Amino acid sequence: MKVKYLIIGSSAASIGAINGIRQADKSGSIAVIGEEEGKAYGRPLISYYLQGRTTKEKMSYMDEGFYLRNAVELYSGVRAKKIDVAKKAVKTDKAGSIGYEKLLVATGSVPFVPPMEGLDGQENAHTFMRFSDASAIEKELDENSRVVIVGGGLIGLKAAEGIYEHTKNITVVELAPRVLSTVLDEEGSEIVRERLEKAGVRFELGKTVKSVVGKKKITSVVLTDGLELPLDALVLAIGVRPNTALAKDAGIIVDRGIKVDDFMRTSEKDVFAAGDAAQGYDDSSEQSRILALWVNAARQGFTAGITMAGAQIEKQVFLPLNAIGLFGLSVATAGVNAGEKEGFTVRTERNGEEYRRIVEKDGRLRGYVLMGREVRGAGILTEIIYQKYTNAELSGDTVHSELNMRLMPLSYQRAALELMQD
Amino acid sequence: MKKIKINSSLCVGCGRCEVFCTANHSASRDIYKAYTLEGLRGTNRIHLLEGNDGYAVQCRQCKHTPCVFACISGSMHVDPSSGAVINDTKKCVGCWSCIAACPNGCVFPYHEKDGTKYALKCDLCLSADGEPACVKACPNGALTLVEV
Amino acid sequence: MSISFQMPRYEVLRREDRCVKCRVCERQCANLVHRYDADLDKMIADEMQCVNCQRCVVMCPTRAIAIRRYPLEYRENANWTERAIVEIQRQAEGGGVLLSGMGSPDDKPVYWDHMMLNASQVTNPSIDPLREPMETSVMLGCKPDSVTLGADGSVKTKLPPQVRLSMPVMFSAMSFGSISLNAQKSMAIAAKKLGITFNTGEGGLHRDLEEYKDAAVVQVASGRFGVHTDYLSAGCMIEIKIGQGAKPGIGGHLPGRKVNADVSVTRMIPEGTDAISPAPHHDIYSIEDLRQLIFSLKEATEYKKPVCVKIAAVHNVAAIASGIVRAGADVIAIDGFRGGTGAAPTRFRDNVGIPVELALAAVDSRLRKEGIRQRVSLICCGSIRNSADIVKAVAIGADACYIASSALIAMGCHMCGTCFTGKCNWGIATQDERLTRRLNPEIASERLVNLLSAWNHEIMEMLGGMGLNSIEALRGNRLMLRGIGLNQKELDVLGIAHAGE
Repeated sequence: MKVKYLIIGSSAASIGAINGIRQADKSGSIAVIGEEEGKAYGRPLISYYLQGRTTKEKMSYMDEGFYLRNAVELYSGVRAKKIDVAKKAVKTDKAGSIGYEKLLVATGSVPFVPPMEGLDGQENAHTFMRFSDASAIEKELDENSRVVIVGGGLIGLKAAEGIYEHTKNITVVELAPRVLSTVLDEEGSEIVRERLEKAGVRFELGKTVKSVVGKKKITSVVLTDGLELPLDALVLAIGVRPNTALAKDAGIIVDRGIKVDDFMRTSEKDVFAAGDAAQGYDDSSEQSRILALWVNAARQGFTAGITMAGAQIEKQVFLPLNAIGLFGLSVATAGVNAGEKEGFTVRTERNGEEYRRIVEKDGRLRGYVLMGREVRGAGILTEIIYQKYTNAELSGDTVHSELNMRLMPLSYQRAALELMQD
Repeated sequence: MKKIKINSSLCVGCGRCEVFCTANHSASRDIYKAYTLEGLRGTNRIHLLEGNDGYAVQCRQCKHTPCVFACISGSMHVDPSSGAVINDTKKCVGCWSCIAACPNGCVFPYHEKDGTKYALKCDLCLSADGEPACVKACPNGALTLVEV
Repeated sequence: MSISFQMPRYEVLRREDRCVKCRVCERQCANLVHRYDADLDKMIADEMQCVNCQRCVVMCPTRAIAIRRYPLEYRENANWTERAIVEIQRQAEGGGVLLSGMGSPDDKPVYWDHMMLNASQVTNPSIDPLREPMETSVMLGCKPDSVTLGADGSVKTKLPPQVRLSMPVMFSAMSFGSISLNAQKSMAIAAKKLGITFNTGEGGLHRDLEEYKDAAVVQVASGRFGVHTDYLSAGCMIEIKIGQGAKPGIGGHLPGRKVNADVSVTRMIPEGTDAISPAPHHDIYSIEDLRQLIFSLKEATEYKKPVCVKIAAVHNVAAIASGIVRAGADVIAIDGFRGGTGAAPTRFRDNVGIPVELALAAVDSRLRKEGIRQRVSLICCGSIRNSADIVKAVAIGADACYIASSALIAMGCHMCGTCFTGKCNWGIATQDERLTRRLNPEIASERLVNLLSAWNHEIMEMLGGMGLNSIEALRGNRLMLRGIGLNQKELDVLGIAHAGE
């Protein structure tokens, strides 16, 4: 069996690619190989599911008719086993071999589980990546459950929020001296930690798990400082690693992730990569790196799709962009998370939990942190970073002005109001 | 598709657009009831940015749909029939990813009294009768519906 | 000062079952009457500043506001009216000359309302304007005593310059400075569309109105603001303003706060200075001087444009008009005491001048008697409120009417009469950019076109009803009028019979 466009992966990048392909090519056949059962779903929603703020049905990302409308053949619950770039075919476990003209590798990432003494597939040890993880955790918990979450980053804290709906007895273990250290500064981390501690979540910072106790079921973990935490459920939410095995085996160039150019092309002709598995260019830190975020996967997928279909798209700019709510506190961050030590200028304004942090270099915005009501209008700052507007070009000040269109350069405002953008 | 063009030099800064937007997204379609019985103050999707040379602005229906890409739930989507970018507030989980992505600052966080939250933005009044209320309410022709 | 005796003149009535505290009224009031009070969670009004312009009333999304007279009830006194008392209080506090905007509101006779039109019945049947041609166009200018035709029927006599109007109405003089550029532009656009004219007033012609110059009457007033050769040749007619109905005997007055950069450039005066036109033209001290100015202007424009002289309706207006005809004017505009203004001393506005109906009749009769009526066209102004006033004016003897207040009302004016403060909430009598943007010339000119098209239609209907099919046939046709509730003297001056006769 052969299709024009073959996509390995059925999440954000996959959906983006389908939309991108169909914008330029209404008829070319598309097939998607998805390891998980069912249609693509909003993966970040698994914590919301645990919280009770969404249902399995609502988690489905696209509407019912999406795959049919776009003439996409979805092989769900099927795993790709090997990419044969010479024969231009992908071997699967249950759907045989599928030939392609263009291939998109959107295999995403897998949870990173560091070596831990005693960790051996115990049933109450969970990663926090897929719907099945959330579903399993949900079944295990009751209001008396003691939960230890390893990892105080985005995944760990969102897991804590979801689990909090079931049990209040939660301890978060984080190796760094503070939470969310990849996206927040010290002050921001403290605001978040205080909010969670006020809700009753406990933190063990600057430590990680050395060993786990228990054969069939884990009964406790021992931390690097010797502290032992009894538990009923263990959630491993340290981070993710790009799922690059398939590409590597096929001889495609892989650094940390599958290396792609500005249009998601890999080292292999007619093979593209997008999403958590791909390593593109982070414009804000000016580095080649993986940006494992839903929004970037979706946009990279779209870029790949359009390019695969032979059409042109403007070169896209990618940078880190996060927006989450944590125990009722809204947080938005984008661009560089750095400070004076790294050579940036930092200006902040704070009123309790309302926090605005502006990171600049050479007179222009490079990154921001917004918390609480300050999140309103965050996209204005995001766009200022994308467009590389200097402070002098802006009509206001990034720290003191209200975040609305009147902060933008007049030419931007005019174009937006008179519908002359894009 | 139709979009709303804004001539900022004609904006008189009255804010009628905000009031009629609110009412047109209410159940009663009555301004007084919308503000009092339904408690919809602050749900306007068009906002008056006050000041000299001020103007009111709503979602620009960007062709490159940054909010749609940012959305983690798929609630923010392009409506296949009209081509407009719409947020399905029943599917929205209120993560504010779209707010962080909107280059025009035109998506707004909304919290209902029972704690439900979702993102609000202009839907060209497609949820009402398809005739943008703000355009009709503007006393000076600053807002016009144009075919692009 | 101890305490002010002045009380609000108006009261703001706000319906609590309609007000949603949206603050639209607060944002729109240039007099800062409305305010949202966060402590009380209510909209409140400081009615001391309210001038009853009704901007808030119109703009309120739920029609929750009404303005009415402040319910102060002084003891009944037909002589010492509330107004008489309040004006003394104001002058005792301020020590200044009372100023007013818009025309005199006094309860003096409106003669238009005392004249009734004829209608055809059995003999001389009426004409149906929807089926028969009806000519409402007018040619303004000096008509020759006789016309010589060639063998082929062509006109051999050299005709003096004429201005063609598609209907007997023109926009009257309102200067840029007293009104906003948007307001003037709206009238310029409408005039061009309708085939009539607008008038620059004594503020000069703004460069943005260049494209409408063919529809412009350019005014030369005593201050000579904005007058240069290009200005004179720009318009289709030149008007020398000797007087204005609202304030006969004195010149124009534009407060310095309304003279911004734009007004300064157009008027050729320094920014922020009061623009006060002197009472007389300082080069016109006799009728011979007027004749000299008229012919200087004709020389400067190569006799290609008619010259109009605008006078206020005063005593002996007939004799004055006769003199002006003999001085060489092609058109005479007579402005009655009801005429509007941006700023006039209240005592002048209400006590000086005579009704234009009487003045017009006197002038038309006198010029006919002297056999010189055809040497000028007569324009009647000073509160023309509707198409019936126009028809009656033409019947008395006018060739056309100037309208000003009517045009402003069409554009949004609500006759609050505080034009001189420069805070016109409708964007008309102001130069404040935050207010002038409220008047969108596209919308306002459309309203003017609507108004005058409707009036034109009504004029045709009334003409048809009288059995006439042209304005020409109505002009000076006093037999079409009958007076009601007038004494014999009034009837004599108007030259009409009483109803029933």
